[in-house]
Amino acid sequence: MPLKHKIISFIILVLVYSCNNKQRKDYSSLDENKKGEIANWYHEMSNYFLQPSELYRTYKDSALIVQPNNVDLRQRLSYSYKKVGEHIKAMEVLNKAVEIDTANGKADVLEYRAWTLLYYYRDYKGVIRDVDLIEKITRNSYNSCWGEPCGFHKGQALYKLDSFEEAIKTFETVNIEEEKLGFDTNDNYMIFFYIGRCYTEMKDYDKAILFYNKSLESVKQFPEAYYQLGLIYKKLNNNVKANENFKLANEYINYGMSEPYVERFDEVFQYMVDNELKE
Amino acid sequence: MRLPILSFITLVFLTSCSDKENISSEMYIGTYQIIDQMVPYPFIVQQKKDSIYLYDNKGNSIDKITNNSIKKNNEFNFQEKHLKIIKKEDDEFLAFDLLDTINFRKFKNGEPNPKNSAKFKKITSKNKLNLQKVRKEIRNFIWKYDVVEDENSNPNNDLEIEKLFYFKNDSLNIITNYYYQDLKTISEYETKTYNIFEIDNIHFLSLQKESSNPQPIYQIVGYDLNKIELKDFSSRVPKNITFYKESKSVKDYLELAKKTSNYSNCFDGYQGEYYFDEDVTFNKGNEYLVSYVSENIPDGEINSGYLIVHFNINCSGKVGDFGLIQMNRDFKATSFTKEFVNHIINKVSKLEDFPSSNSQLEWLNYKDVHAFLMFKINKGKIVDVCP
Repeated sequence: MPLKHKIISFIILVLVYSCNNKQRKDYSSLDENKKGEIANWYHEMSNYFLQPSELYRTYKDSALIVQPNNVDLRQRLSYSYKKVGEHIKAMEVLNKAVEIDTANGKADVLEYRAWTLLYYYRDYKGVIRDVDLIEKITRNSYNSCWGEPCGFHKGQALYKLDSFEEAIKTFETVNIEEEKLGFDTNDNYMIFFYIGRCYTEMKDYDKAILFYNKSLESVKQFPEAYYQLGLIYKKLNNNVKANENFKLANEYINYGMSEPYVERFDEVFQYMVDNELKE
Repeated sequence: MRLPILSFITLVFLTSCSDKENISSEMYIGTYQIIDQMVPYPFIVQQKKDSIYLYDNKGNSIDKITNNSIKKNNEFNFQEKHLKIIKKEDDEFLAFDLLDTINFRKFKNGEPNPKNSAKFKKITSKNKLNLQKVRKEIRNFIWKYDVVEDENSNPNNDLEIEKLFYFKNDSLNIITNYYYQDLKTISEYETKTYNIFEIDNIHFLSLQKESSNPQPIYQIVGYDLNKIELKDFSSRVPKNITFYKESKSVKDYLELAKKTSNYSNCFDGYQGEYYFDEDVTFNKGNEYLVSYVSENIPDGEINSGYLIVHFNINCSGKVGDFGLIQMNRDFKATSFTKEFVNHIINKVSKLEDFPSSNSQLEWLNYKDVHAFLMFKINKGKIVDVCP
């Protein structure tokens, strides 16, 4: 599409839609390529503004008027609401995207929703439901949910639901699948950490210690693992070792699991370590 | 090539939503600048014969240029402001101050970025007011404003917010009350200064804080002993707002003010988000919050879902400026009992372990951040805090 035409199209659309306007242009007669071009133009324009701003949303809405089934745009629009805590709207937009995507036999948006259900909403049953559906749609037992294995999310959800054995099994499946893909699973320190957490909750402290140490073999500066080790040794009345680990947690406190946007499960904070060191 | 196109498109957008009214004056009020942040721009520009006057937010004429016309010329070079007009319509124009490189950021190629321009709106009505009388009378009463929220407000579906104003000789006291189902949950108190002034029979109320914290100018469109009617230009679509005379006495108000905790944003114009730059999140984590907020939580709530408390964290780490959204497990609107909501909001309002905020981002100025805490509720019990 020549630049001049793009500008003209855009201006017409802006005039039609940007002023609380009332009239909606009918795009149904345009072919899919043309619709895609116009929607993409609005999408690009929205990115010119801050993501949580009204203008960003207005342009994304305009893109969706042109291409209502564009799930990628719908998902991106949901970020604008989700990141600032407007969750009713965020989930309304995201759920619609999931509905469209899954109806087309795709699981891309579902993969993102599983991630948000775990970290944003702590909706553990929802995570398990979504990850199971992802595996069904993709016919693959290993999938990626927003940069992390979906099985890792399901495992954490099971752990939070106190289904520790099933959680361990799910974490182990992730490692098995990753080995098949040629990954070095020794790097999966988070998986080892949460397996350790499951064994801790099951009071199988020997195995828990084994897995915390396994995670530390991969990442030495991991305060959460030291903190959990400290708690176990404290329970076992080994105060020397407990104290050693709490001191290491303190030393590496700035290297914790801290993530942008969300808090991970069992993150350790300075006051927690301080309380243990005081005792 | 991309920048000129973006500039052009932004101009089209900015000027395509005009609220057409009969023009009766050649006076323009500065509304806001930076269109996705909407920072107040409290200046007034007036065309008088062949001269253009620039007024500050107290109504002082601070500069004048002759042989110039808002309609015909595209640059007004005041001594301290070189306003380049980048788009003009009948009742508004967009100006870019070429001398102010901090607040008016340009594209990398040095061209003005229209997104960062300031919008001036033509004043469309005049009225007769005895300003001396207004100044004198308003000090005798407390005035109530039921806040009409707009794009500058924090997300809020479920709280009613009222502001109670007491205009003293030299300052304006503001108590903000937050109500949920008619129950006053929390209150905040802050002080600003104010000016009531007139330029050629057009009357204004302006607020002031430090010079680095611009506040809006309102046009006074009506006044009687029971109400003050104002036009607020600080949102994309200007709105009419009314302060009503409140039955509360000044004495009672001052007593209430003494008991109310202070909160004010360090920069009212725009708040960043907690996740911008360095995260501004609670220093002790979610587990602590669950336990802290659950202390003495009222019985009787049976509902499940999420209770999302919105607030700002200012540059000193204090929280205020609240909003509330409640939803059920299906992510649809719901409501919890007022005792339950009251408890949680009050607990959040007392949190002190937030890091102080301040933007370190060169391209984005803010001093306070907007944040939220989402409490996951299971049959009246807090089971988690997200995110």
